[in-house]
Amino acid sequence: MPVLAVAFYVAMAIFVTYPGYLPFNRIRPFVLGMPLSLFWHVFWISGSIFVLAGVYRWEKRRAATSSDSPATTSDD
Amino acid sequence: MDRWVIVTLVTAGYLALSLLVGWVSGRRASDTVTGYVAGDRGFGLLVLYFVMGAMMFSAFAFLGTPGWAYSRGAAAFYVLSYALLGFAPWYFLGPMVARVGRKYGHVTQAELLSHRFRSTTLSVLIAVVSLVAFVPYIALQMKGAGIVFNAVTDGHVPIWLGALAAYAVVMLYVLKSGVLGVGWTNTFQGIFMLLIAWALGLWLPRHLYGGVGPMFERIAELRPELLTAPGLDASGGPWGWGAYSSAVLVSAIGVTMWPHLFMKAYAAKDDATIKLTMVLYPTFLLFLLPLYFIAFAGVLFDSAPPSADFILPHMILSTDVAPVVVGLFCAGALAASMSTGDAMLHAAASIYVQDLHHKVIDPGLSDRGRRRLIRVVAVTVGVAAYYIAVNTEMSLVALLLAAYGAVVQLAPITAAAFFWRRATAAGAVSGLVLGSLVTLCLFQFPQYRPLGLHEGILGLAANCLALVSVSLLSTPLPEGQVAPFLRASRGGV
Repeated sequence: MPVLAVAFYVAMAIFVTYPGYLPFNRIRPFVLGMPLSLFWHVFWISGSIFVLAGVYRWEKRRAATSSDSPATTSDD
Repeated sequence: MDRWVIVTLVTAGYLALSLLVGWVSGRRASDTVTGYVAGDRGFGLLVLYFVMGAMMFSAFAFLGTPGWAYSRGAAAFYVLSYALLGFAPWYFLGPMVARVGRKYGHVTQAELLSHRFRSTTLSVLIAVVSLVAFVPYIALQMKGAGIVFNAVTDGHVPIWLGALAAYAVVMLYVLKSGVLGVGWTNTFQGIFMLLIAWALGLWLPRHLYGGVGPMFERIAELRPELLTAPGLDASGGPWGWGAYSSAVLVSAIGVTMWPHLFMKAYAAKDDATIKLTMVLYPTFLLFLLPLYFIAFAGVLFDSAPPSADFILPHMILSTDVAPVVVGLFCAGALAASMSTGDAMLHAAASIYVQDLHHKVIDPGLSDRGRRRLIRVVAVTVGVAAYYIAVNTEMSLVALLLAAYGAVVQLAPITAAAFFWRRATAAGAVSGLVLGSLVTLCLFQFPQYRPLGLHEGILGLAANCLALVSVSLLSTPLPEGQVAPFLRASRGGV
């Protein structure tokens, strides 16, 4: 799961800079009143909330299931 | 009553409330360095969220970013990218930093790195770089506060007085309450400026053009070049992709390495608090959107501000909003400036005392003595920054960028501290020095940058090279010193 988060941010770094941004760097269509080029950033920012919330829940569940046996390391 | 009198009264009311919140909040802190610098490691989610958010939401966000959007269009979108990419690593890095800090009693970034590499030189280097970066930054925040106050009162409140009023309040609550004052005022200021930003950001386009959508429709017709990246450069010509992309990456790395970000990780109550803060942090970023809306509203406006940075106050003053709203806007802008400036003032003083004075000049100084010294230094830094803010012109920005170039160069060392056992003090110091020098040279002589790439990227490459090669050539640190540090960072005992 943390690997997925890292992948998300690597993908973001590629898609908000050259050349990944190119296909989405357009004025139309408008989304929520914004040009696509601006909404594209809103999309990644909102995505980040879901991805990290997912990682957080996953870590919590894992901590809960492994708490029966004494955990020596909690690798993030 | 004149408009400027009402505006001043509203702003004064906001300043009084800030002072009250900051003054009262420090009563719970213990009388120690950890209490003053790291809030006894007790910050909860609410306060940490606003402290982290306030770092991004500075006077620059209120003036500079809209100024960019207004004059350079989509070039300003890069802020949205680097602010997220810079903070996201803290979901993982924050808890590691905090765990090591709890175990060894660190309260600053330099303490962490100099402990890991057993190097006083590193501590002094980092302290100097941080201070050189912070003082002009604080000065810029002060100047921003003064400029806004001056603009919205039609020049009746001079810049020196506006800056003085705002930062006298900051100084009082930082001295009295330390980081707790910073934390709780940032919460109050944060809620305040978010409400103002959204209210104005949605109302203005609606009032002027019938909504955000119709506004962008008209810009798409009249100035389409403003709506697609990489936008325009400072002189109005098209900006390059190489410059845009590398600016995103270097700025992101720079943000991750902000020394005051480390200090706030130490202030967190526990790992879960840091992680949840990072989960929620992007919601704060979305609050930059209304500021973009106001700036783009200015593009179609028939009058222009004296300089692009004035677009926000210009828009507020040129539309017939009630004086009370102008006052609230001014207070919101001051909140943005103060909530960034206070954390940096507090951080600069703490760093000087913990990483420079206590390490080199007077190692025997007691906890009590250090606590007192931090306050003395805070006043000194505040006065110095104020002097710079009132007396100097633009060369500040160059000094600031140069110092931040060096802050970026802490990234490879920090990564090595946690993930590469073999890294040594000699490697860390040479990486930092070489990386900073390369950055500085290319900053001075931009004609040698390949593809218009940001100078920091090339500095980082030189830095990594030096870090790896010198580390491998020097004697490894004893395993008994490195292993406990790494175990602590991963949550072991």
